Amino acid sequence: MHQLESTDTVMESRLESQSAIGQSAVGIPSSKLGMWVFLSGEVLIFGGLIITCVLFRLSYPQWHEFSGETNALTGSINTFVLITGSFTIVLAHKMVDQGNLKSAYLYIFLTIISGLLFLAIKAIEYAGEIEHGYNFHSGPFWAFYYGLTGFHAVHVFTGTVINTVVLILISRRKKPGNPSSLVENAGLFWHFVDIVWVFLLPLFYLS
Amino acid sequence: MTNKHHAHPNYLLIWIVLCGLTTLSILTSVLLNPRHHIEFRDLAAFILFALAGVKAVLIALNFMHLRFEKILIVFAILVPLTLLLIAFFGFMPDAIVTLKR
Repeated sequence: MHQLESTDTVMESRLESQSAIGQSAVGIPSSKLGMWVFLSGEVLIFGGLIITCVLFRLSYPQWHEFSGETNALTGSINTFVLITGSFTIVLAHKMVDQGNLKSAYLYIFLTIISGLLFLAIKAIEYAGEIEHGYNFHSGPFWAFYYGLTGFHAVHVFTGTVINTVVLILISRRKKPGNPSSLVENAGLFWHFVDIVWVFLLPLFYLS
Repeated sequence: MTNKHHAHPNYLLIWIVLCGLTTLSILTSVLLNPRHHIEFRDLAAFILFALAGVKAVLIALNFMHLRFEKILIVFAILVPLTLLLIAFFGFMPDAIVTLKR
């Protein structure tokens, strides 16, 4: 029996070292390192789009005529929604670390709600703007607006799906090996989405 | 389990500060009204993006736990940011030339 147990322990540690919850060669959990590498690529993508938008804005003074047509109120509400979603997902991570899984489920659920609320507000906003005749082809401002905010909305949707999958996985009877790592990595993606929106707010709504 | 749990800062305080900074951004936009007052456009843009930068740093350091991570992960974000800054200032002269035309 003891021989079987030690074989199981050896197998488990081998599987762990090869899996996402194992340590990479630099001493950081593989899954976390992978998520940060992915986010560094996302920084380049979104950052490149944002600085291109800023450079266009600097080049064309008539840019400001169009920026007055976006709804600063809905943009601001969406900012509060995403900031609150970041707050709840990081609280979920803290609850998982403390072993309080019931609270973690609630906070992840609230994060999912914040994502759905953001998307609903965005959809209503787009509908209003299109109804007023502003679409992708209405000029460089609107091309950047729909391109950047639409690309961001795809990320919000993806983040919401990820959070839903994480909630399902950690609420099952047979829990994953490291629920803290799952929630943390989902949270990293969600915080990045929030950071991008923090820059889109002044870019398209406030200035 | 190989994932060590790091410290958890006061998330509620950070959330309150973030909401406060967002409110400040909105007030700046309302008071300076850059959409209609051309003379305040540059000042408003500077203040708004500075506030956005502060919010981004707060989220990155506290919610994303960059304060507690190894330096390698910090570099994973600093390197693309540096490249973006180089690209921005590299293309800036072309943007200014277009504006002057």
